[in-house]
Amino acid sequence: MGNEFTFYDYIDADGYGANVINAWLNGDGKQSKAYFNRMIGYLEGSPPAGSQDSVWRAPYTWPLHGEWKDFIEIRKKVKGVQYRLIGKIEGRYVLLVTWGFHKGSWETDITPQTAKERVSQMNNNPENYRREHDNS
Amino acid sequence: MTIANKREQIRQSLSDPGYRHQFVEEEINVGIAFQIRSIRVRQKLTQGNLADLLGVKQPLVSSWENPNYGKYSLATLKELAKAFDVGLLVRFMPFSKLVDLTVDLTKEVIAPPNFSEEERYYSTASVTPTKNLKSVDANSMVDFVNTIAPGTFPPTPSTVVMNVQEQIHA
Repeated sequence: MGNEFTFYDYIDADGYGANVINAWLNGDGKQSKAYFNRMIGYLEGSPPAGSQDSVWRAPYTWPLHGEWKDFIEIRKKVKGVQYRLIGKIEGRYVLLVTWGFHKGSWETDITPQTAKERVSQMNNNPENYRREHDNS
Repeated sequence: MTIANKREQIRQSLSDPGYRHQFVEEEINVGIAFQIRSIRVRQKLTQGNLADLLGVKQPLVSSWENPNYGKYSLATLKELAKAFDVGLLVRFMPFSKLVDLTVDLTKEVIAPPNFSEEERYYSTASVTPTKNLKSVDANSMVDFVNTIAPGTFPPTPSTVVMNVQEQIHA
């Protein structure tokens, strides 16, 4: 009776070992925390719409482009600010690597190169760099 | 992560009053959107088909399937339940119960079978149970039974004891 997908949070194992996704959801992203946690719960249990699709599409997730190609984001607008949770789908795993804001312009804390490095770390050293999404 | 761990994480998060009210709101917004989409897909309906069934325009169905929509009326939900031929329950409850209901979301929970599907399942199973049990995938059956009777699988120790006692006395 397992989930269709599993979401993982990036762990900053080279720093203080913090769960960067959970830290953001309990900090600057707090307004969007309930939405993202419920979205992750439902996405974990739902195959993408349409039997031919291998990934979810809008309005559930949005694909990113340019340097962020291959990444997806979940979006939530609260009081004029669009909060974004950014990750990469790897088969049945979704690796959440960072977050972003959109308020006039897009802001995130890391570069696309760092996001890709985080994906590699989560794939190559899962014990240290990833943890199942934390709902707390 | 076990279901128990996930339940504990959610339970802890609800100690923040602001968060727990958002949690209720988003569980409704996100959950209904996913359920409408998933049940529609399970019943092989397009958004246009569902719109025709309800006498509305397709873009409205598309809005209902958007987790950011958040403007469902009870009248709409009742019409949807009728169109899908599934049950609908709206009731107040303690947070502990809400957490139990939201922690384990499988596709069978999100897109439950309609009345006909349930009837077909029961009638086939009661006619030739052995033959049909072999042809049904065990996990699907567990998911199905848990959908229509939550908590049945896995059996609790007390259920096992009762079953053993029944067999002894038989």
